[in-house]
Order: sequence, then C-alpha cells, then structure tokens
Amino acid sequence: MLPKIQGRAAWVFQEPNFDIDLIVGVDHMKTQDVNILKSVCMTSFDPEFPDKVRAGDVIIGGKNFGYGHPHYPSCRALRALGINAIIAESFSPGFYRGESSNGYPLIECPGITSAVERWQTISFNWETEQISVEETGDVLQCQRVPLKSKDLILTGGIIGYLKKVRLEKEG
Amino acid sequence: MNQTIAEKIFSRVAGRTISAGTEAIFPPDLITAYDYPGYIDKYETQMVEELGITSVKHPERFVLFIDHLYPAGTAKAQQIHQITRRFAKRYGFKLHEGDGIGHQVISEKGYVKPGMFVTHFDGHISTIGALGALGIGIRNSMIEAFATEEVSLVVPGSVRINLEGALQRGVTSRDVFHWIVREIGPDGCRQAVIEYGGKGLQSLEMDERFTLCNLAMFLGGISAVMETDEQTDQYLERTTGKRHPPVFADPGARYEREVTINLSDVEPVLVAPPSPANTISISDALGTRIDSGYIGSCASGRIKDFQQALEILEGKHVAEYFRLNAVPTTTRIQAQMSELGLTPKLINAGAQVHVSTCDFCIGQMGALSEGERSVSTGTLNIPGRMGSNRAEIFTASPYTIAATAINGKITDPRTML
Repeated sequence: MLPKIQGRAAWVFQEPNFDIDLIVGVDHMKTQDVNILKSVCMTSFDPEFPDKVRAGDVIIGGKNFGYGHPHYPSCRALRALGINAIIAESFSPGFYRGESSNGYPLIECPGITSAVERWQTISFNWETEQISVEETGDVLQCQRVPLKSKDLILTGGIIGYLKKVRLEKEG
Repeated sequence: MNQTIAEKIFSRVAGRTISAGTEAIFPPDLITAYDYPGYIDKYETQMVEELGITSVKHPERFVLFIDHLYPAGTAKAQQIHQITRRFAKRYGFKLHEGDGIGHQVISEKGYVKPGMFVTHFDGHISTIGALGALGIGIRNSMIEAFATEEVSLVVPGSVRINLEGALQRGVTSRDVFHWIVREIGPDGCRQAVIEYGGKGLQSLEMDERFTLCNLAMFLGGISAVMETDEQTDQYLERTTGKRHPPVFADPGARYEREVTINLSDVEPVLVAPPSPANTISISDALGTRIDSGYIGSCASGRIKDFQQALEILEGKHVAEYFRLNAVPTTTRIQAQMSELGLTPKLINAGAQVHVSTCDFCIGQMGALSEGERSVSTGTLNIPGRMGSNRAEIFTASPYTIAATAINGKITDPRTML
C-alpha cells in the first residue's frame, strides 16, 4: 500500500530553483553519518528545525525545486527526521529522477506554496491525486504521479522495483 | 502525426507512434557510464550481489569510460578503475580509458548516430544532441538500464528554441546558453527536451553546438537535440564513415513553448557564484580580482574554445601569479591542438596544458583554496565544485577567461580583440 501522506508543513520554500544541497549545506555533501546529517538538517533556515519536526511532516517546495547539481545527503537527512514527502510546485528533472529512484514520494502540486503556511496540516489522496489543507479546507489538484514513481515508492527504491516489478515480469 | 524530434526518436525506439506525456519502457540504443566512487563499483555490487545478473543480452550496447580521477592520483582511485575494468570484462562491455571525457569521446569514436536514444547517469550526455541524438541522464536508475537494458520514463515534451542571426565577435555559444537562461529563466525548459533549430544554428560550428547541448540541465531541460545539417553530415561522415538521414521536427509539431533568440543580440555574460542560474552581464563584474582560469570540461575544451582563447592570448602572457589551466576535452583534441600549433602558443602565453580529464572541473586537480576566485568553462559554479567551499567560481567563455587571465581581473574580451 502506498504510504499515508498526512502531516504538517515543516517548511515552505517559496523561492523557485531551490538548491537542495542547502538543506544540509555544501560542507556536508560527503557526510555519510546520518546522525550528523540529521543534526545539521535545515538548521541554516531554522536552528531548531531537527527538534521541531516529527514523523509524518512534509516539506513544501516552490517551482523547479531541486535545481542545480543535487546530491543525496539532503534527502537522507530529511527522511531520517521523518519527513516522508516533498510536495512542490514543480521539481527539477534531475532531482525528481534521483530521489524518486530512492523511493521518496515527490508530489507536484501547482499552487501549493500560496495555499499552505508553515505548520498547517496537509493530506494527499493517492486515488484522486488531490491535496487538502486541513486548516482552510482548500483542495488542490496535483499532477499525475507516474506509475513507475508509485512502484518505486511501493518497493522501497530502484533495487526493490527491479526485483519485484521488472525482472520478475521478464521471468 | 506532426512530431518533435524527441517524439520521433521515442517512437522509433518504441516501434509505435508515441507522443509527449506517454509513460512507457524504452530500450536505449546505447547505455553509457563513467566510473567514480559510488557509480560503477556500486552497479557491479547491485548487478552481481543484489540482482544476481551474470550476463546481458546485448553487451554491444554498453560503453564505459574512465575519465574521472584520471590519471589516478592515489591507489584508491586506481582501485576504482580496476573495478571498472573488471566490470567491463565480466559483461563484455566496451571500455575507453585515457581517450578523454566520455560525453565527447562517444561522438568522436562514432558510437553516436543521429536519431539515437542514449542513457547515462549524468545529464551532460545531452552533449550528443549536437548530432541529432537524444542523451538522457537517468541518475540512479542507471542500474535499471544495466539490469534490464530498458528504462521506464514519461516521454518529455519539447521546447523549441529558434536561433536567428549570427554571433558578434568576442561572443561564444557559452554566452548564448547563459543568455538564454537569463531570458527565459533557469526553469524555462523544465522537464522538456530543448530542440534547437533555425538558420542561426547553421551559423554555429560543431564545437559550439556541443557546448550549447551540453548545458541543457541548467535550463531545467531533460536533454537537448538539434536539427542536423551539412556540418553535422560532414562530422558524422568522419566519425561513422557514412551519411545519415537528416533529423528535423515535422511542421506543426506541438511544443510546450517556442522561443526565438537572435544570436546577434547576445553579449558576453558571466555566471556568478553560487548557482548556474545567476547569469550577469560582464559589465556587472568588471575588475573583480581573479586567481585562476580553467578552459576545459565536457562543456568546453574543444578546438574552437582554444582558438578563441588564443585570439587574445597569443603573443601575450597571463598576469603574474595567475594560473591558467587548458584541458582538452578529449585526447584526440589534444593531438589536434598540437597539430594545429595551439599547444605551444598556449604554453608560451603561460598556460598549463594538461591531458584530457574531468578532474579540473571537479576540483580533483588544479583545486581552489579558501578565498580564491576562478573563471571557468567548467559546467558548474556551486560552492565546493572546484575545491574549497569558500572559493568562488564564475563560469565564462574562453574569450572572457583569456582576457581575464592577461589582466588578473575580469575583463571584457571585446576590448582585447
């Protein structure tokens, strides 16, 4: 079953073309220790971010989120803190391809940055592909989530996907 | 049906008419990769240990390159190359080592033909768009290509960029690309294939076209592809030994957006740190002190780039304490530079001319230290890209780098031509 996406907006990035590397900072592009990544995650935006977030929270992004030359530690840090999805106006294709292959739910939702404020609660309906904002009752239609992206989420990433969806089918 | 070039390519690969927005599984004509810690070494572990795949059906569709950490400066780097050699032997893949940067070698060695669909981890494979082929970076789903010889993707839409006019003296295709970023924004071609065409395109030489296609990702593009013409035919005749059918879009093809750029409007620009989105006019940075320059990478570093630099450098010398690294994109280009007499001229002007490698672009060689500033034709200007996170990188054209190298500060190349 696809994971429930219902949680608070732990941060709203209004800016377009956000460089995902800034989430842990360029000094941590080669950091492997997930505890270090968690401790620095988003602290340049809110020094208490790692303490304020809880499992199930989401990040809201602007247009072309993930632009530039995205590296993986930032999303490792977000996931380790329990951020279980990123919902953005749109994603940069390289970032989308990379993180969706890791099985991370990425939802494109035009209008999301003006509909949600920090700490408001959203929920995503996988059937209708709509996002509801609890506090305002607003409902936003998202872009279609590709079948492959759903399979990658269900199978936990590219290796699980290949084993369960692609290689098994080929016999 | 009126199709874009990308739709034609995906339709040919799928064996049925297919249009933008369709999600399907496609077998690439070529699957290509380079080694780096966490790439081919990881693919080998995934293939052998996690997926138990011991052979592939079409080994001839795979080409591997050793171009990063090359020549190996440490035993650890050499070990990465050893894994790549072992991986290539194990599966019967073609391997190129020491031939230069794969994104260009793949064209130079005749692998790329117009209309082909090629996948790589790295989005700069879009370089091959200059030959009317479609190269797409699929990031960590590369293991999907290795394991199944197919990739699942949603056929992207296309943005048509019509080029008109011709470049002014002192302006290059490097300026053109970053000019377009400023004109239509770094997401101006988001999630789309950039399709270049028009009379202005025909005025650009092949070396300039490779540069324009290479940088597609910084317009948000999935890739770039160009209409072919007589120049493309001549290039392909040299590399593949024969002529190929032309590549063009159908009249009435549907685009997400159409943009016209008049090449004669373009002026020298810089990309200021810390992001490839930051195109600025050269007039905004004139006089900025610079410590080093780099002409090379998969984006630039071809014969035309060095010829342009030498229009300014020849008979002069770089400023005291300025370090100028000239790094040919491929080993064949390195040989041509010698044959054409470019290498001694660069050396006499105070440049260091190196063997072809990716390493200057990623700070493995010629690294910058804290507080230093560089002008570079490398692909990227993010912090830490060429050494210290506290060094600054301005990306620029070879002309601008040459003029800046002479004065040790950012200089408008048009004042020195």
